[in-house]
Formats: sequence, structure tokens, C-alpha cells
Amino acid sequence: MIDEQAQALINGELDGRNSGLESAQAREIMSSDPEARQLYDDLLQLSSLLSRVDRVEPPSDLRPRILRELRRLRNTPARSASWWTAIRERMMARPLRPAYAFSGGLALGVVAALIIAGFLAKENSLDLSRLYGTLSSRIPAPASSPESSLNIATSGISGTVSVIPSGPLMLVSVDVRSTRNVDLVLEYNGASLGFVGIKKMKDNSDSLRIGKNLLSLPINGARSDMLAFEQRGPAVSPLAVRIVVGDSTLFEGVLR
Amino acid sequence: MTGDDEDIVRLTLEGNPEAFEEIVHKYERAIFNAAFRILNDNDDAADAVQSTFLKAYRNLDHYNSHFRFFSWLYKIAINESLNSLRQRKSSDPVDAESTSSGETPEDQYRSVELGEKIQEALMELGLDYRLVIILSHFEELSYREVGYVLDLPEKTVKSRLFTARKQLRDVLLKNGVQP
Repeated sequence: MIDEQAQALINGELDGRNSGLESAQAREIMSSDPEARQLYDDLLQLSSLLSRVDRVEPPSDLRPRILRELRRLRNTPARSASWWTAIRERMMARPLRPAYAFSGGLALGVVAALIIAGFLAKENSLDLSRLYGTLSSRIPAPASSPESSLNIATSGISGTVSVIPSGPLMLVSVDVRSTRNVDLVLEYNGASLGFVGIKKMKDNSDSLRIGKNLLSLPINGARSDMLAFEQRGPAVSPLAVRIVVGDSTLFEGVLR
Repeated sequence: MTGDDEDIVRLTLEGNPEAFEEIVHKYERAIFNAAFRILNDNDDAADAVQSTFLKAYRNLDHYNSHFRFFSWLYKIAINESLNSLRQRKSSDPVDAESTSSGETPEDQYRSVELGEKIQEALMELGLDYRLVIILSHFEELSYREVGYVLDLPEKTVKSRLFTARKQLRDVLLKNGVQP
């Protein structure tokens, strides 16, 4: 059995971190204990083996992806941070009486709770099975072929999102397959387009999240849906399509 | 932190965000390797690397220059990889594609095969042991830096590394690889 002190000395010897004295102690232990010597030799060979392992090359599209996201981040105005900073700086500049501070804090808390409650109410998550007979009943069969399509092909995700005009409606066909959990996000201008409904084209049991001018379809496996939008103006409105995982965008494109 | 990194962080914080792109160029490969060794999956590792750089950029003003910049980056990368590990449902087989110029095809085959066998053996270790091997052997961090990245006392790093090495040797022998 190799004790703790001997372990530390063998470790240090392997990593070249022993002092002269420690190195002498390590050599003494190894010369008097064959088990310690054998272990040192084995671990030295292991270190040599590990040093021969090549580095794995990252996917060629990774760096452009990261740089694109960084640029997007840079171009996003940090409005929430600036107004909070402004309030905080003003409060720091003019100290408040405790009673005022408490009342102000309480009022801010109530307002924040109302804002959050309102936001959550908008970010509904729906089970598609609940849409049958309601939102889904308004979706007609496509009357024409796709006007424009977007092919998605990126690290484990493939498929097509197409726009099909159908009378007053604009149908969007989603046919995407992914080997991992991702979200397909459709963003649109609410002044030009209004979401009408969704119809599952295959028996996928995933849900739909509806936000303001935004739809999010979770995908893990194959997903096929037909979404309908009503056109609210004469101009054709572009539809932004993104594939996201958490904060990361893996793919983005625009359907016009 | 190297002088270069220090300059880049300072430039970025002073309002030249493009400077941070140099950090991506410099550390993308190293961070990807650490993430890949933990996750054993190219796509998950790539996602973890992307999140790492975005988080680093957002939190650059929280960086503590007491430690080298890439230690801080590794700390974020390890957390992102562990988050990914917790979230994912299943893991795919190893997909190691590495080539080195100047090697014969036979050398390259041996090198890739060795890399795959080491990776398989690493995946048989407990996560705590795998992490110290990755940071210490593949990323060549000091005991102190490994302790910083993993939030462990230096003494624990040393004892864990010792056990991890012994376990890795045993797994390799069991799998027919002579260290």
C-alpha cells in the first residue's frame, strides 16, 4: 500500500514539480519499495502515451458560427442594463430615507411582478393536441406549390421550411429532422402577418411556444407541421427562420 | 494571463469588441478539445464551445486577472460541458477526426486509433477523475489552475489526479492498450 506522502512525491516526480529534496525522497521510496517503483514506471508510460494523442479538430463551421454570434451580441443594444444602471447611479448619488427606500422598493417589486406575469402570460406553451378543432381547423390544403424554400443543413439538423401562398393565407411548411434537442424559431412582423394555426403533418407530439411575433417549435427527431398566417397588408413580409440551442444560434435564414 | 490576452481583454472592455475575436481564434481549438474529451460528441462539444465564448464575452468585466485568462475560459467551458452532459439524453460513439501534416497514412491511422482508445478509456472513468486527467494532461494546467477551474483545493487535485492516473492505466490494460 502506497501512503499519501509517497503518492504526492510520485505525482510531483511525474509532473516534474518536485524540489531537489522531494525528488531525492521520491527516488529513495522507489528504490526501497518495488510496488512504488512499478507504479511510477507505469504512470510515466501513461503520461508518455497521453502526450502522443493528437488534438481533435473542431468542425470547420464552428469559428464562423461563434464570430457571427459575437457580432450579433455586439449589435444588440443593452437597453435593460442601461436604464437599470441609470436608476442605480441616481440612487447612489442621492441617498434615500429608509421609509422612502422601502416604499419605492415595494412599488418597484409590484411593478416588476406585474411585468413578469404579463410576459409569462404571453409566452404560452401549448400542447398541439389541444389545438385540434380550433386553430388547426382553419388550415386549408395548400393550393399551390412552394413560392420559396429554405434548406437547412447544419451539424445533425436537416430539412426544409417553405412558404406556400394559399388565398388570403400564407402557409409555412416545416419539415425538419434533428438528432438532438433544438428549437426552430419563426419570427415575423406582427403588423404584416398574424399567426392563425398549426396542423401536425406527422404524429409528432412536441409542443408549440407562442411569443410576441414569434413561434418556437421544439424538435428532437423528425417534425413536420403546416403553419398558417394571415396577411395583414399588401406587402409580402419576410419570415426569419432560426435553429437555436439555448443561447446559441446554429442556423439562420430568411424566407421572403 | 499572457500579455497578449491582457491587451485583448483591456481593448475589448475599452470599447473595441472586435478585439475579442482574437481570443476565439486563439483558444477555439483548445477549448473544443477539452469539451470533446468530456462530452465525447462533436456537436455537443461545438455547442459548449460557442456558449463558452459568448458567456466569456458577456462576463469579461468579471474576469479576475489573479489567474491566467485561459484558466478562466476553461472554467466556463467545463461548466458549459457539464451542463450539456446533464441535459443530453444519450451519447454517440466517438467521432475523432484528427490529421497531422507530415505523417504517413499509417502513422495517422495509428494516431487516430490511439486517440479513440484513450477517449474510450477516459469515458469509463468517473467524471471527477476524467476532468483532472483532461485538464492536467491534455490542457497542461498546473495543480493550482486545475483547482481553480474545478473549485478544489490543490491537495485534492493531487490525490484525485493520482487515483485518476491509476484508474486510467487499469482501464487501458483491461482494453488491451499497453501504456
